[in-house]
Amino acid sequence: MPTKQTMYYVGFCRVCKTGPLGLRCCGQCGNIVLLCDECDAVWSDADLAAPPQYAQGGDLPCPACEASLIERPSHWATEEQIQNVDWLQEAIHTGALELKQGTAFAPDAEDDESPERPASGG
Amino acid sequence: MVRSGRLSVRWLVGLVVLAAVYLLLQPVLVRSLGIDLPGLRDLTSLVTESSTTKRPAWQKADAPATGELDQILHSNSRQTYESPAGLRYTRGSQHGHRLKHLLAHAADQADRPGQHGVFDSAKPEEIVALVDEAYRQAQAGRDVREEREGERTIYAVDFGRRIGYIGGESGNRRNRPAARHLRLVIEGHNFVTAFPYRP
Repeated sequence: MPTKQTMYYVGFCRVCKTGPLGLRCCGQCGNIVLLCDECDAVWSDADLAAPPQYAQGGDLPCPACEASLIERPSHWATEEQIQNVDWLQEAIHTGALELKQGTAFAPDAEDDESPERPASGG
Repeated sequence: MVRSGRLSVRWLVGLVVLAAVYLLLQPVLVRSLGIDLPGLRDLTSLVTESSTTKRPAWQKADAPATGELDQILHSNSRQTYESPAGLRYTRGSQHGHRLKHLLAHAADQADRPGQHGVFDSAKPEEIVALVDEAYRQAQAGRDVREEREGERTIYAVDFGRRIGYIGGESGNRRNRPAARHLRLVIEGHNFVTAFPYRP
């Protein structure tokens, strides 16, 4: 049975108007993108007005290295990983994006790399 | 009368004659006595109805075969499934297959951020049939709003009847309000996602 996963997110998808935009970390290159938890639209940076990237042939390639963002070892980014991304930190500090924490819709079964839930919620 | 489990010819002829006489007299008896007696047509329809398997009310003639859905949903099959309306469900999404992703909307996830649309039915064939109905309604341009986002088309279809409710964190805060709209996201004929929602 799939385990629930904590996911940091920064708002909701303008394409499907429902999915939280989770912070997804590429398992190969460590690149972090904004991934819609519902329709799999991807943004490479904080410019959410830009056209998103969509899945190709059933998979979702990382914009940086083209490894799968869906398959392991890709995972929802940890707080530590998020703090190391300059464009993300800048967008959060300027208020362009608001970092929150929730539960992912589609948890990776038995994935133990999900971020830990901190004592105080975001 | 009965020998070795068979009617004798004499009794058989007698029964046929009696049946013929009944069928001849039945209309006369109904008219003169004012009583309701079954005729030949009634007996024929009775036999036809009892020997035909009826489909449930929800199941239309082009409803998807459950076997094919089950194979995808209960295995790691990566095959493409095409619905009767022509929507293609391929592998993809974090659920591994778009069908599995769709079926994840058959149950609430109360701690999911925002709104999580939940179908009233939990049966795969009913949900796929409902999405097909929305797709056909969208193609016909009835009670639908359409948006384009690159290669994607996003339909907001009004069913005019309840199809589910809003769950998730937002929906549960509002006591799970009813939903009669379906949002359907596709790329060409490829299904991406669909779920009940409230505009």
